[in-house]
Amino acid sequence: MSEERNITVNKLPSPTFRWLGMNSALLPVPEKLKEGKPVLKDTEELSASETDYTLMRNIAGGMGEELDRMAEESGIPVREFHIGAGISKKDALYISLHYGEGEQALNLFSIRAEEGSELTIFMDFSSEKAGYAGVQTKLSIEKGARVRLIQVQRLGEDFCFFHDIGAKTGEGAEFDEREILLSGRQSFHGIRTDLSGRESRFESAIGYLLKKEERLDINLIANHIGEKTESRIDSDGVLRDHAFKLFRGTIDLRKGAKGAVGNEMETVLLMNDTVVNQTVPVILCDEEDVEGNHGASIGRLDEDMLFYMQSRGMEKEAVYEMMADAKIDAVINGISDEKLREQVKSYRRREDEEAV
Amino acid sequence: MADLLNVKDLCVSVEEKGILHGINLSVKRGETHVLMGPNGAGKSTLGNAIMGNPRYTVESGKILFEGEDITEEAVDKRARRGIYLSFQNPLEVPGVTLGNFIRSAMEQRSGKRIRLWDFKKEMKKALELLHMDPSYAERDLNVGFSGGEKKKAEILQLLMLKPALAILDETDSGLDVDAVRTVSEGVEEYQKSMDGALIIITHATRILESLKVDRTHIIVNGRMEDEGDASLVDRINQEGFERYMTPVSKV
Repeated sequence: MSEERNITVNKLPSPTFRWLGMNSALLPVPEKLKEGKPVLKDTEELSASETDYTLMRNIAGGMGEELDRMAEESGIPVREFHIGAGISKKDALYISLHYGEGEQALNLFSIRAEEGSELTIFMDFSSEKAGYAGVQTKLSIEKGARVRLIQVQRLGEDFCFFHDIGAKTGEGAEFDEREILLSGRQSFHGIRTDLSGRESRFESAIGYLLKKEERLDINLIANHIGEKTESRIDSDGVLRDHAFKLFRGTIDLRKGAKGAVGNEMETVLLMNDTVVNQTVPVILCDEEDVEGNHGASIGRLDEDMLFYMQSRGMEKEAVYEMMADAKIDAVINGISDEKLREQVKSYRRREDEEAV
Repeated sequence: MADLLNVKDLCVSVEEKGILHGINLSVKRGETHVLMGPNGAGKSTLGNAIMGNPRYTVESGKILFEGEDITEEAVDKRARRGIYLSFQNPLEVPGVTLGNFIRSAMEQRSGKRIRLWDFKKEMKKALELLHMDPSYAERDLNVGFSGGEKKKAEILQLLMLKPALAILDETDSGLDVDAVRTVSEGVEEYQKSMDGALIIITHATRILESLKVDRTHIIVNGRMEDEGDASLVDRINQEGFERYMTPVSKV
């Protein structure tokens, strides 16, 4: 990157001590970004159009306002996909972005799911060794609609990437978000869902494998606004070598969100003593009749688990490798669409072969 | 014939509390030994100590396997020598399928890649013997398994890993009549076709019905109080452990 600036992203909604350096992240942004060339498949039953940034602005993303400003100023068009009321799309909308060596790209997507519709989106990000890319996806999920977003990140070892997601759910709507992050030198992920409609649901499952000098910065926010809204956040990862990860997970149970339930669970397997793992779980509560739960399991393998597996003749190192694979596989196995699940598994096998 | 396992004057503690006090036990290849005793006597402790569970500390004494001292050896090395422990409460391992787990363990034990075709064939045979649906191989290890399914999965691993010595820690507890029959068929197969030695920790006798028992040992309060042939099992079933209990231990 010849010329670049930094913008502040992934701000914690309720800041903690400044000296911890966890309240936000600095995202490098190159001076010139061009629209990446996505390969789109299975767009039937959807209407696709090109729009300006107006609708995007109405839905906040997890990475924050400075990113919105940068995206709007970039002048890059917004690709909108719209699914009509009551339509259940059988095959997933497939958006694949493969970035060439040294490419500096930005893509903006708007997804609008009308009342009672059903849509699965599969986003596949891959690249050559080095470059920079960003993606912003904003979703409006209307009453009773259901959207599943699955993204796989398998980027080059010197690649910097960000993905900002913002969603707003209507009454009884569901947003299911699944991220499988396999590689990339520096990654920023922001996910914010405003559960505005009564009884709407948000589920997020993130699985990541970080190695060498890789860095991952996540800001996940579930805002419970409507009554009886539900959120579930599961983050499951493996850190090895000198990897760094910062996970911020906020469940905000706002006034009026009576009967809302938010759960977040984080598990991290630390393969070496040289990794850096930071976690900021936050549950904010401004309503009495709500439930917010947080759990975390961070560290080495449980001693009983290790004994059980070693008692079958497996060396300690092999058990750790197996458990590291198991963590990411568990997130992949949660993909309900069999075809997509198998596709992601094939990526995993390829990653393994390349590692050998 | 030389001893396969030889436990000499073994004293074991857990969290600084002495559990076993000078246990001696010799098992020859292909022999079946039954270990009985009241709750809390130290039966599972002995099984765990032989397997090398780091939660159990050997204070004194020795464990020899095929004549070699393994008292200080790591769990996985003991397993690769041919010691197997069937767990009373097998752990759930999300993300690792039963099939993959067994295959990886087999490869680690042999140090060789195992052809998928050969593995599947052998696995199918073992699954059939235990009346388990082939889909179990694709399921995450013990995740969502019933108590009986977990115990069957332990015996499945025993049949696939083919150790020289298997310690079955209450493998029959909590199982219905049919499940006990299936599990004992699996154990019988191990005993006969692999000339496997067994240490069976049990409270019941149903699992022993089809097995030829060579020796029976009674542990009470961490000490071997009695030893005998298969008839001792029947006597315990009729009389209980009363005669071995001191007035203090009865309380």
